[in-house]
Amino acid sequence: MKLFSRLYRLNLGVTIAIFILSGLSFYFLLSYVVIEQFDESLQIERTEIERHVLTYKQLPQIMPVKDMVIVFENANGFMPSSFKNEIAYDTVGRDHADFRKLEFSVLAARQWYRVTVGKSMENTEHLIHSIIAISIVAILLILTISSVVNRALLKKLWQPFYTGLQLMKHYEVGKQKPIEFSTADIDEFNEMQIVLKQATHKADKDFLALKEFTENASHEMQTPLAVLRSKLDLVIQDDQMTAVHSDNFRAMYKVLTQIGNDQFLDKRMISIKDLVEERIAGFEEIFKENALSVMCEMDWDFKVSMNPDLAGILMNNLFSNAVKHNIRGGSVQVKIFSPRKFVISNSGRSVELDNSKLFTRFYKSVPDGSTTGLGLSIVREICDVSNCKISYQFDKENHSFLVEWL
Amino acid sequence: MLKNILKILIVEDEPDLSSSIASFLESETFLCENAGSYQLAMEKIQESDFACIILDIGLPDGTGLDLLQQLRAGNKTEGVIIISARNSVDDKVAGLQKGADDYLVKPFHLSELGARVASIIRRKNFDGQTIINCNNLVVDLSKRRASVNEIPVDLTKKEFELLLYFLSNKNKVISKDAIAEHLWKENMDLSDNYDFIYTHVKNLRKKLIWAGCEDYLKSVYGMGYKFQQPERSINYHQG
Repeated sequence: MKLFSRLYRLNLGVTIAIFILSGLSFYFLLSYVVIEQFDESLQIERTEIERHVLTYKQLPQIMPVKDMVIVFENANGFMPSSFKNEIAYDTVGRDHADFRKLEFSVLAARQWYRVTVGKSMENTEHLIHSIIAISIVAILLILTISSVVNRALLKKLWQPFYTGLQLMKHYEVGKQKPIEFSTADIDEFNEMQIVLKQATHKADKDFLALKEFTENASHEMQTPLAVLRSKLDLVIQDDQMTAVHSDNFRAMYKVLTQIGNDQFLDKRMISIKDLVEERIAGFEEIFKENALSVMCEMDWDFKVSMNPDLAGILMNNLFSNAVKHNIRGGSVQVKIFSPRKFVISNSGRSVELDNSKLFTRFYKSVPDGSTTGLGLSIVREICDVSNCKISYQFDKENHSFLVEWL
Repeated sequence: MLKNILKILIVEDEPDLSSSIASFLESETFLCENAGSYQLAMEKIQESDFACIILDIGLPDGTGLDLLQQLRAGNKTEGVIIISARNSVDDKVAGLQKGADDYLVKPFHLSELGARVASIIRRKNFDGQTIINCNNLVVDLSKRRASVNEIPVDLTKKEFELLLYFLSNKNKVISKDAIAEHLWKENMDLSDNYDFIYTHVKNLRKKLIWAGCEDYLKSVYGMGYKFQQPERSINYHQG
C-alpha cells in the first residue's frame, strides 16, 4: 500500500470518529441548554400566574399566544410541579408539535387548579436540525479538502524520497559515475541521502579494489601462461621433433589448456556406491569421535558421468555437513536407491531449514564461526555442472539431502 | 602486387613473450620490432610506420590504452591488436572504443595472433576487398568463397574458416588446441577428443585435392597441422 493511501485511510478514520463524537456531544449540549432556557421561561410564566392569583384571587384570563398553551383544570388537591415533553396541538398554529410543559398547582378561591404551561419547541428543533446539517456539510467539506491538500502536499514533500529511490534503482556498482542526490530541505531525507551516498560510495570503492585485485591476480597468472604457451607454439615448429618429444609437448599443451579453461571437464564413469563407501571409510574416525551411528542401505548401485574431483568434493561436503550439524550420539543414514538417487540424512536440531536460502552462499542455520556457509552452495554448483539435482527435506528430526542424477 | 615488407611493432614488457611473438610472425612479408616500454613504443611509432601494432595494456611506464589514445589522436591509422590478461567485458569495450581493432586475451596461441594480424593487415591495406592468391588456389574473402583453377570449391563455413586460418599461418605448425579454440571459441566442450578437428581438416583437404589443388595440408604427428607453402609466396590482390 502506498504511503499516501495508508495515511489517508488512517486520517479519514480518525477524523470521522472525532467528528461523530464531537457532533453527538454538540447535539446533546445544545439540547440541554435549550431545554434549560425553556424551563426558565416556563418558570417565569408560573410566577406571573401565581402572582395574578395571589393579587386577584382568581385565575387569569387566557389569551391565545402563538407557540404557547396554558390550561387550567380543576384538581382535588396540591400536586408537586413537574416538567415534561409532550406532543400537543398549538392553539394558534393548529399544528401539533413538541411542547415543553410545566405542570403546577394553584389555589384560587379555595379551589385547587392544575395549571399546565407549555411552549412549542418546534422552532428550536428546526434550529438544531439546521445546525447539525450545516455541521455535516462542513465535515464533508473539510474531509475532501484536507484529503486533496494532503495528497498534493505529501507528494511534494516526499519528492526527494522518490527521486532518491529512482536514482538507487538505476545504480550499478562499479559504474564510474557517483550517484548524485539533490539536496532537500528536510533533514530526514538529507540524512538518508547522505547515508545512501556513503554506502554506494563504499560499494564502488570496494568493487574497484576487488576488480583491481583480480586483474592483478589474473595478470600474474596469465602472463607466465602466455609465455609458456607461446614457447610451446614455437617449439612445435621445429622439424627435428621426434615422436617422444611431441608426446611430451602434447601433454604440456593439455595441461596449459586446462589451466586456461575449465579444469574440471574431464568426466569419467563413477560408481556411486564406490564413492559413498570410500567417503564413509574416510569419515570413520570422525563418526566415532562424535559418537554417530551410520546406517547404510546400499543394495543398489549406478554409474554417473562426472569429474572424479568434483564428485569427491560433492560427497565430502554432504558428509561433513551431516556431521557438523548433527547432535552428539546422533545418526547418519545413507541410502542409494532406484533409479538414480542418493540420499543422506542426519539427525540434528528439530528445526526445518530455510529451503530458499539453504543453497545460497554464506547461509548459516546457526550463526557461529565454525562454518563458512559455503559447503552447500558448492554442492549446488557441482550439481549444476554435473547434470544432477539436489533437494532438501525435513521430517521430525531428520534433515535429508537428496541427489538425483538425470 | 604487394612486395614490400610490412612492419609490425610488438609492445610488450615481458621479453620472453615478445620474442616468441616476433619469431613466430617474422617471415618474408613481416618484420617485427619490439618495444618493452611506453616510451620506447612512442619513439618507434614516431620514427616509422607500422602495418600493425600488437599492444599490451600493462606496461611499466604507462598503459597501452593511453598509448592507443595518443596514437589515434595523432591520426595514426595503424591496425592495433590489444593483448591483455584482463578478460572482462568492460576492458574489452574500453579497448575497442579507444580505437583498437582487435582484443586478444592472454594466454593465446601464436597462430591465433597470426590469423588476427593477417586479418587486420588485409582490412587496413586493402579495404577488406581481398583475394588471397596461393598458386592455383584463390580465396575470395568478400564473397567468402574459395576456388581452384577458377572452379569453385564448395566449403562449409567451418572449413572456410579453417582454410583462412591455415593461410594466415602458412608454414607454421598449428596445434589442435589452437584450431579448436579458433573455430569454437570458448563455447566448445574441451574433451580429450579432437576427432572433430581431424574430420574437418580431412574434409577440407579432400575437397581441395579433388578440385585439383596441391596437397598443402600436412599432418604433424601428434601435434597438429601445417599449411606447407608452395614455392611461390602468397600474394594479396586488391579487388
